[in-house]
Amino acid sequence: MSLLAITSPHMNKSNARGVGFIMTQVVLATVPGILAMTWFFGWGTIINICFALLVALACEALVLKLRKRPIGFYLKDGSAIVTALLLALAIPPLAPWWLTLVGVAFAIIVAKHMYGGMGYNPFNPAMVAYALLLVSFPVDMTQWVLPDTAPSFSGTFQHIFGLAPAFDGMTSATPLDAFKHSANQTLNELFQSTPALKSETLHAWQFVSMAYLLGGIYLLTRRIYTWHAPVGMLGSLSVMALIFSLYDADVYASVSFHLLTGATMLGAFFIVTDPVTTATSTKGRLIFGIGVGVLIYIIRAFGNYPDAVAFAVLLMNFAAPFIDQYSQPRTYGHKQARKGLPKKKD
Amino acid sequence: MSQAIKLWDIHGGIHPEENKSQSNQLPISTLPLPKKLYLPLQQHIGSPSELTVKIGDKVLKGQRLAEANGFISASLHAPTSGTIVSIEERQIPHASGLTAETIEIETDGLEQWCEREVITDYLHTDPIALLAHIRNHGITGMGGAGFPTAVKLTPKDDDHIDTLIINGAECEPYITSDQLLMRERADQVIDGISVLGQILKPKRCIIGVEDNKLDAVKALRDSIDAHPKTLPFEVKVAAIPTKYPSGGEKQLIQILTGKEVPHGSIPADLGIVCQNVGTVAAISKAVLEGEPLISRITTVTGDAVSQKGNFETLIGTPIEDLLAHCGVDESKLFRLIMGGPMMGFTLHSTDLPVIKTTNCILAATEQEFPNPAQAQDCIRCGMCAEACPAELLPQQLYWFSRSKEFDKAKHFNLFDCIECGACSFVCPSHIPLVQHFRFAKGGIRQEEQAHIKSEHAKMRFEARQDRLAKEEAEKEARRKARADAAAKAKAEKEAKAKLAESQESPTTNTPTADASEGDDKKAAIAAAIARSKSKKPASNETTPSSVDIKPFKVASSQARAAHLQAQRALNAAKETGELSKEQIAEQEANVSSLKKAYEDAKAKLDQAKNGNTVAPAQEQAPSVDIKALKVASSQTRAAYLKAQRAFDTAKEAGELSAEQLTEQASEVSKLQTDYENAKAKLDAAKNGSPTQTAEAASSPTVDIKALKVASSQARAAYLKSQRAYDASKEDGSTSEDELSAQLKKVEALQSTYEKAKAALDDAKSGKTPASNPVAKEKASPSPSETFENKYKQVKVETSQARAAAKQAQKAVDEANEQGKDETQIKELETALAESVQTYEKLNSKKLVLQEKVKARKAVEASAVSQPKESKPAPETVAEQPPAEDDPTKKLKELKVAASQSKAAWRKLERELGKAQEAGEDTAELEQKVSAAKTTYEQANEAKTTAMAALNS
Ligand code: SF4
Ligand code: SF4
Repeated sequence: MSLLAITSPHMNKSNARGVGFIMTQVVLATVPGILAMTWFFGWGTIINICFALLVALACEALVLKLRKRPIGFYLKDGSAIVTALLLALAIPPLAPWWLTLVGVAFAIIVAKHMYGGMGYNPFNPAMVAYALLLVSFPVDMTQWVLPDTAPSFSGTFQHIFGLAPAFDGMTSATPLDAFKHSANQTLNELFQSTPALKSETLHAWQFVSMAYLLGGIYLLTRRIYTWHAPVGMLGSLSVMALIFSLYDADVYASVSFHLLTGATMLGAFFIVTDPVTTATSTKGRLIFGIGVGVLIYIIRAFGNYPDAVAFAVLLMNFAAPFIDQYSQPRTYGHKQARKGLPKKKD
Repeated sequence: MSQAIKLWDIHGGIHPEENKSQSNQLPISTLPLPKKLYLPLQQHIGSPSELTVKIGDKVLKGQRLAEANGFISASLHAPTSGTIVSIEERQIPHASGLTAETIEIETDGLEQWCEREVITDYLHTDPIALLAHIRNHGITGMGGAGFPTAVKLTPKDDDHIDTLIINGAECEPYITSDQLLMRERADQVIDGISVLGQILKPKRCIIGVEDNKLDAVKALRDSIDAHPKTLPFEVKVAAIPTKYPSGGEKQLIQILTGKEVPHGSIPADLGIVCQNVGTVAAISKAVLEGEPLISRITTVTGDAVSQKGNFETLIGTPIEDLLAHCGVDESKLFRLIMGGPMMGFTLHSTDLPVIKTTNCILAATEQEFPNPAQAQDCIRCGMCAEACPAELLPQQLYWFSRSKEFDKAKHFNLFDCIECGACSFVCPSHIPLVQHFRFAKGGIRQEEQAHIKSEHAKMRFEARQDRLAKEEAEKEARRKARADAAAKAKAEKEAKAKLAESQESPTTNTPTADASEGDDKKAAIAAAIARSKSKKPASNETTPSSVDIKPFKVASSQARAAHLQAQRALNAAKETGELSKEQIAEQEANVSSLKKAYEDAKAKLDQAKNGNTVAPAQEQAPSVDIKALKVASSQTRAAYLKAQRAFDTAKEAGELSAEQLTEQASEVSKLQTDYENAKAKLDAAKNGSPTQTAEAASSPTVDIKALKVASSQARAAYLKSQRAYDASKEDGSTSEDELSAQLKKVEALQSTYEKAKAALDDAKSGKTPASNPVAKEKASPSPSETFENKYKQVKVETSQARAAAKQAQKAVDEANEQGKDETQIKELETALAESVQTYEKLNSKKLVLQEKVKARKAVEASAVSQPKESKPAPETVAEQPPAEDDPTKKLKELKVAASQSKAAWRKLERELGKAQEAGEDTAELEQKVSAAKTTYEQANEAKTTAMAALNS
């Protein structure tokens, strides 16, 4: 008999619900989205994901080795996998392999580990990489294949890895992108004239969005995260869209257009819910989500980039520590919540 | 009794697997009597109990073994009859593996009871008597930390208890002892509630039981229905949702009343008292059966034992025995926990006793409680915050604890963490958060402790510096005085003869000059004569023609001024009401003595007037003039010294406002000037040119030393208040108004200090390197009179110091009672220790002086009775009566005094040694020891000199 001296508590639920469990749930929740994407945009998504995962694991292992950390222990937490998965879902299905490579490597090596690794990175690695790619390779990052026109598996494979010439004419901008560059047309004209805004295209996007929503609801029911950030983001985005579309429906797109195209749903349930880089209290997360929603709308409506989730999230990542200071809950027995940090003493 | 009770929810909480069914199937069973029982004197929160038995004593069941030592303490009783075989330091079951003195009883198996005290008619018993009964029966909280129950049931005067909450939630997994108690002994619980009702007179009582124990709920409700007569208030049982930690006191109060216990308060402040069901049952046993807390129900569970269940266990039963009885499989035993899995602590061995708080022994296998997984990085998922019942942000606290940013951790309310472990339980990264929080709390406490210590050290250092400086100055003065005395000795011998001739009354030739007092013999003699004359005005033989009115006038007016000033100061102090009654009485005495001095002086003046018309000073016979001046001088000096002492005391006590202090200071300096004038005149008169010196002396003299002291004291007061202000600001619990009031005070003190400093600087720049003020202060006209004056002064001071000490004690007690925070109490305690020390010093001084006065009086008496026989002994230095009418008796007295002071010193030294061994703070004791040593040395010196004188 050797008695073990450990301080309380002696029980721990996390034996069953550890970080690995959380990450697995997140991966599971993306399955509907992956399926929908593949259905409409072809095998590109899956090929991208697989490639991204390989790159991510390799980068992670490499960096851990360089940082002299136990590789197996840290690989198990699954965070690299989730990062790679989300980035692969965000970039166009037919994006060339090097785009994925650069993006994932940057996400893991720079955005994650250069800031201290798991738990210490202030910015969402997937979004950092996405923003980098968007700024550096705007054309490649905005060429989406039109729904149901994707090549076969091998064709897609060859395309991605540059083994075959590009499929001209089969790619197009996303609806948001098209909307963005629609200069002088009214909405009606626009929706009729632009292929990216044709109803089948929109339909595909809506379908994908609903798939992400489904995954999100799953995660909510599994209590992987709380509703605060997603609801905050979707809510504020809806409110903004509603106000502006009421103001001038000819210029500003409808609420449903904003909610169901682009990366809105992916962002709401898989990006702003990233625990590490958001605010940490529930109140803070609500504020964080609202901020992201507002920023998304502003960038979409008035900025230069077609989609805005990445930029909005990164901007709010900046603000997260500040939000944390001003969103502390009111502790039991205290009249008020504390604000800010303790005053400096000399 | 089953109407719905409104319940509130608590934030967070978790649902760990209950694991209660293993142990709640069988009824409570009794353990066979163990051969040995081990009873630590520290089983409760508070000070350890004090032994009332000794090794070898036969004790009866229920007999008291140790009694409560202080208010927050509990007594301890013999769980069965037997013999005490040892009392020694042993390890006790405690989270940090502490040791405590432990009584070992060898049981005799007879179970012989001592006489029991039963209160059957408790509904008509005085609550105070019931409280005393509970206290005498060693009842402590049985659910949690073991807080003495009587203390918790003694509300502050202004708290009216409205709601009594009985905690039967038992939210910890595995534990079922309360459940079994409620199920099988519901009547006991209800009786206990009835007793509590008599003590607290609540309007209602709610028993909170988690809804996984509906059997207990039913039993309690049935029992309530069966007890309508003894429950003059509403008693309800609330089945609350099962959720950990709903059984935490604060959480249960929130669930049942919707109120939160405010930060820094106790439930009684809300009119709520919360007691555990086990405690309530113990109260009922104590009151109705006269059985002290000698046994309890303990759950034994965990997969390493085969016979899980609840056992009526005697306090002190070795856990070994308990486990053996339950069929422990030692090879499987992996983790042994006392208490539940969420808040219990691991035991390092089975060689520990069951104590009053042992509700569960959990003998777990490795499968049940495997080693914790390696902690990963915090992913800031916030699950801990969601689970936290105190609504903290454990993830942030963790971050700050790890980086030792303790101020931030405090700011994020670390000290509101109840260490329930819910956060650790849910953390997906397996981070032992609670461990980090305990570490941080310990760290913060240590820092605060260190801070307080350094503050104390600083204060002590400053005080020491002051003292050393004073001592040095005094030594210097004495040395100088001695030299002066020696130098003058020769001249005096000659002068003495002449003087003796010129005296009309018999020469009271006091043989020794008190060199340490630094005065010359001539003056001493003159003053003695003057005094004896003033005492017997009828036999005053001074020739009227030789008496000058002027000096008497001066003396009289000075005395009057002194009296009036003192009176004014007293009135001012009375008005502001800042002095205690005792202090005012002292000051009144002071004033009346001054008044008397003035009246004396006036009477003398009248006398002189009656016996004499105008006579110019120059024509005065010098000896008479000197006499009169001497009197004036000594009186003003006494007045001055008194005022100075009173001023110092008041300043030290810190009870006077800045203005009052400055007023007093100016008064003191006036009196000093008066005194110096008088002295100068005296000197002048001696030299034969009174007018000149009187003029010279009338130029203002500034006492730099006094100013320095005043300045440094003002500074200390200012700094102290500044610190206090900072502390309360930081603490954050002080309201804005209080803070601003404090700030004002600080500023006032600061300006006082600055004023004092400015005055000091002025004085310094205008300083003339004239006479040594210390030496002057020490100058005195007549040894006996000086001693008497001094004695009186010291007496007054002593009683003042005693009053201050008493007050400080009161303040400490109050602070303790009110549960002020530790820092404040510490501060008050320091103040107390300081004042006690002052008092003790003064007291010993007083005693020494008393001796001296006696001795001196004897000397003088002998000198008067045998004027011609006495002979001078100029080489003897100080403070001793070389020749007496009964020197043997004197010597005896001195011997006694010396041996007494020696004993006192030795005792203190022993205490110091003990304290040092115990690693306590010994600085104060050291000071005491050195004070006692000085006293002894003085006494001894006096003794030896007296002996030498006698021999010669
Ligand atoms: S539960 Fe653990 S991992 Fe999650 S925020 Fe709290 S400490 Fe961090
Ligand atoms: S241990 Fe402290 S921080 Fe953790 S859940 Fe309990 S109260 Fe909150």
